[in-house]
Amino acid sequence: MTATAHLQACLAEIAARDGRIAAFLHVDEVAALARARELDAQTQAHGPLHGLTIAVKDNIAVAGQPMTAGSRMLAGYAPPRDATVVARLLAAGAVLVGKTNMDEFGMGSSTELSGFVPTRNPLDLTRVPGGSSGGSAAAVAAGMAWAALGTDTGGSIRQPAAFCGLAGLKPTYGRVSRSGVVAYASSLDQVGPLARTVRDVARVYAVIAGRDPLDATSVDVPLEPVSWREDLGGLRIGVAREHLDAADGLDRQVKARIEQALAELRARGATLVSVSLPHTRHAIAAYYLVATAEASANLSRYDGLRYGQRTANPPTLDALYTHSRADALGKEVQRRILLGTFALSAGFQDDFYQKACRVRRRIAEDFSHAWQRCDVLLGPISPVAPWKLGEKIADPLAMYLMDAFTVAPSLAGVPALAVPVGRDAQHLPIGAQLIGQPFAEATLLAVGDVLQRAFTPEAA
Amino acid sequence: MAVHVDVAMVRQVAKLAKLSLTDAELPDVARDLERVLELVAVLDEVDVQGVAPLVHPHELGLLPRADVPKPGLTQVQALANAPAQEDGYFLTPRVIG
Repeated sequence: MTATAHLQACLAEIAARDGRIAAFLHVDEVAALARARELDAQTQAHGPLHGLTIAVKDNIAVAGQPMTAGSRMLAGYAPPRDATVVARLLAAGAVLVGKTNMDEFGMGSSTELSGFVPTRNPLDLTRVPGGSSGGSAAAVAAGMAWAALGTDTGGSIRQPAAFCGLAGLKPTYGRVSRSGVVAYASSLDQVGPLARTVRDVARVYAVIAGRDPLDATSVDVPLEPVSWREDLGGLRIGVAREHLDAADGLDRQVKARIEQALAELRARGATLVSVSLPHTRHAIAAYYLVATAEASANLSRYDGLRYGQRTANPPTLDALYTHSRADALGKEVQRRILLGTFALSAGFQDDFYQKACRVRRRIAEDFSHAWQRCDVLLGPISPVAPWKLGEKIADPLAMYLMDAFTVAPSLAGVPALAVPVGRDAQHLPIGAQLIGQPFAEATLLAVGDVLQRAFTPEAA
Repeated sequence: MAVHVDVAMVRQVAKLAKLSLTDAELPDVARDLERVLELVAVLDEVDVQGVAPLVHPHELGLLPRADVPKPGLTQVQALANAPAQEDGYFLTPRVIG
């Protein structure tokens, strides 16, 4: 199939269904078609992603296309250059389809908190696609792109991948450059791929990962090629009781799918090992303090002065700042900025931000201890199946609790992979989370591939 | 740590955060913040005596690039997204009477 034909099939899906799904905030058909034709005219493959269509989350810069990060604050913003990950995709021959919808600045778990429009789940239009990379997940699930880039601060790749029946990887902190990516919480943010299969995720990951001099947090650790496996003999899979039998609020059907996943892995030769991650119940609290503290600093750049929205006729410089921000930032973003500012403020910093960072070390130690007994961990991603639009929107705290299983790997900086493990009784997709040792993405992907094929043999 | 959040505290935090909140919004924001602080009080269960804060997953430090000059944004590019500009500068309201 030519790049052009492949792209045209995606564009046809977008034309037919995206008015309802709203996966994309921006599609530049003309530029994408020109790119596809240019690739088709080449006599040799341009790179490992030659002619493959990729959707890009709208907090990742693509030169020549608008970038809003889902916020009205950045309506009309035009980034001056490509993010490093985008430059790498283009060098590998990818065709970029467009920019996908997201919760504003990545702050949300359903994509209902986009400043523009909520995205719907293509598998059930009454339900959310997850978030914050909900547009990326919906685009791939609806056949509007072969794969997508998302970003993950506390679960924002893994949970939408699970909700849309896809695979999605949050790499080890430092594996993938964030240069050209809109910052939310800088000690947590990572870029990663979403695709139908673990093998497709691995193809995109191999292109975007690696040291980038433009991001001082990107590390120079060699990328191991993935050795795909048929059996898991010799592999130890850890099961944390806090993720299963002692998990708070874990839906019975989700639990059953995770147990089925464990049985499949054991049937393929893996040894199951019981472990404990005792600080699982503290992860949400630590995460919301750390993430919002960092967000309060990162989002101070939206001052109405250098870019973004500016309030009309501000009488003073202070009014320019305070009114521009209050006018253009959404309620959830303001809520998180206020919490983060509070957590860092004089008199409260020790009891909140510093305390959260100390607990964060305990959480990281939980994982280090687990690695003495197992090679990877398997557990749930979301405690429940995709919920209905509007169902949790009125109570931000209820929405925060949905991230209970995804935030701990983010705080520890370890890689984690969403793998589809079948459907529940309502035919809603359920995902399992494989958590790996730092920089051991190759192992994680190999195990994830075996797991996915156990449920969907054709997903090779 | 349980904290009672009153309107004066919210006003101070909003000032630090450079967000203009109306007086009508303050009680709701105070209630919101207090609820989140109740949620995070679960951290009090953890014994963190002698535990150093982990502020970043890479404790080995960052990898700066070589200090070699290279072209950055041009003035036109840097100003291209500014909502107000004049004579090659970002435009602010008057700050000196």
